[in-house]
Amino acid sequence: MTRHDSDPDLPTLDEEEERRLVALLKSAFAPSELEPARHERLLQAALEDPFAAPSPEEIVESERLRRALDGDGDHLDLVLARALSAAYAPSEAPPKVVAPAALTAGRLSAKVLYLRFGGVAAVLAAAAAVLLVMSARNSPEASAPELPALALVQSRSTAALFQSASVGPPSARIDRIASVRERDLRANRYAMWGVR
Amino acid sequence: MILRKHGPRLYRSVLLPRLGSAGSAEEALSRTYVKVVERFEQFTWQAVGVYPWLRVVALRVALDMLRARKRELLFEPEDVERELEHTERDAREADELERYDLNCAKQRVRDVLGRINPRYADAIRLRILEERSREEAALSLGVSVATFDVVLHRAMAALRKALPEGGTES
Repeated sequence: MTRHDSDPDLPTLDEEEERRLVALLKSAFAPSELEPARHERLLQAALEDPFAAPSPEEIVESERLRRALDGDGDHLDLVLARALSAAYAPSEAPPKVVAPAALTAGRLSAKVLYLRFGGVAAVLAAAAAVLLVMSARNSPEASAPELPALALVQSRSTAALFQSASVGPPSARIDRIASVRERDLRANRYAMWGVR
Repeated sequence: MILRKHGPRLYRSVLLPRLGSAGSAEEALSRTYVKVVERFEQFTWQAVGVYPWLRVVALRVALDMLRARKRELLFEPEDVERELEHTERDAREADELERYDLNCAKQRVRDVLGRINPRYADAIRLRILEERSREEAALSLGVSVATFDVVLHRAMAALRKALPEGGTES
């Protein structure tokens, strides 16, 4: 990554883009010579007439290649054609994911076991949580008791807590409020669960 | 979980482009899985996750398979060796590495097509890479379907000649 510290508006270049830009600059400033062998190949390729009349062998071979590409028979160039296709636009996923023998044989290391079972445990925990919420919502037995029938601690001002004789410095007052609210919350939960 | 998540990505962007056939790539993926399971103790957690490490394992498997071949396809063992050297200092995440690998493979195809007659390159691009029908490809080149078949055959022969080792068979 390259970033000019003094100008945060400059774009961040990844390594590939940086390499491309360097090649562009070098090509423009000091263009290299074309290799003779490369030049010869280009020349030969250009001089060849792709549409010249085919020989009888070429007709036979081109027909074989056509059939092989259509899935009928085999041809030497089929391998190359598949390689090109695989490199240019590889299929999204393997036709079948091959399970490693070590996995099926149970030869898992402690770390793999930990990761796999950690994942499974997380999924199970999430599923259990969803199930709990759904059953709590749907099950008539588990439905919340009638709130008016319960003697719940009502929300109220904290003023009384501040005026209590036992209060001390601010931190102690905060602790006291938290403690009382915690007790109220606990009492309300017990009341809603039907615990006496 | 990790292998199920990253296996298809390794297949698509690392193994299949370098090995050139679904069969070889599947075999390589299987070997990669076994090596990962055997060597997972050696992995130390990194900020970029586990994918770069899995990719190195897959590249090494691909390298072994390329070396074992008598002839190479688009990638040579030296190409993968260079990638492995570069990977040692790599701190890119899975998505970025995947994009990089896919771009490299595409560029390799463009490079080899650049070595042959442009009409041949067109024939291969239309029929093999873009999977157009013979009729469509022939129309694009302005020739009859029968002539297109011959041109494609010549194109493949020219490409084979242009490859570094001059061969394609595994």
